[in-house]
Amino acid sequence: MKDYKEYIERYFEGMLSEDEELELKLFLTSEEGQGPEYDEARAVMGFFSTGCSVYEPASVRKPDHVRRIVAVAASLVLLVTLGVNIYNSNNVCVKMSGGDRITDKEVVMNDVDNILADLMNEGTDVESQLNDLFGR
Amino acid sequence: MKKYLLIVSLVLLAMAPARAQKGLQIDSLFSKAVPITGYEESLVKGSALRDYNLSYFRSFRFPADKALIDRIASWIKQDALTATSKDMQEEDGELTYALLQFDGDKSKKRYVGHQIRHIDGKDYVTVVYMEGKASVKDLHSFFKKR
Repeated sequence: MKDYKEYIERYFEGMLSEDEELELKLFLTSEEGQGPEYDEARAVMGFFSTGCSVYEPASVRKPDHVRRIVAVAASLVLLVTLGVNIYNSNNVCVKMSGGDRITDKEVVMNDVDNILADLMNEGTDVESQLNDLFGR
Repeated sequence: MKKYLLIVSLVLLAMAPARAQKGLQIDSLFSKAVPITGYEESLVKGSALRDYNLSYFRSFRFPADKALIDRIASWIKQDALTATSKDMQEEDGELTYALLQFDGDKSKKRYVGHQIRHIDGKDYVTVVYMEGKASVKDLHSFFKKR
């Protein structure tokens, strides 16, 4: 078995080649590398790998134009969803009867028509009364 | 961040349902603060009401006993105090019909209608709330003798 303690010492001195560093990382993630004597190395190397993913070089990140297209597409989806929601909330035609929800526009509007006709025919239509009175 | 919060707030505000008849006594009925059984409710908003020149229509129709009839009549009478015009009819001291208009705003008039019908030995109450540009005259001429 290789002396990974020596690898670790050289790692901290910055003397490890890329291949050796990769080998060390693999060792530290293996079962043999879980001993308390490797805790410090695991912690430092883990921190660096996390830091690399957060502060990755700009060349690895998605190009700006891709991000812009994604942002525009997401905004459009949001606007369309919002528009549909507003349209639906502003255009309702429903009747509740005996626990049933009726959304057939013809049925609901027929009901509305009957209710309003009933209401308006019973009320006092001043204009038609005047017309009847003066024979217009 | 503040910009996003503002946009989200505006979106939520736009989507928040508002009770159209809020501020009227009859809102107690529409908000179902009073338990009523066997009712039929119709709610229509938007394009379906274009022919009537209305933008909002909500109605409740239900069988009612004397106590409930009196309770609803008292709400209607209280609302009538703030109405800009009203047409009310009584039979034997009991309110049987009312059509109240509020606001008088040209762009949006508000109406409350109330009617009692006696069918097969039962009293049925109909209460309507509606909004729109239509005047009482428009509504009368539209629905008269239909």
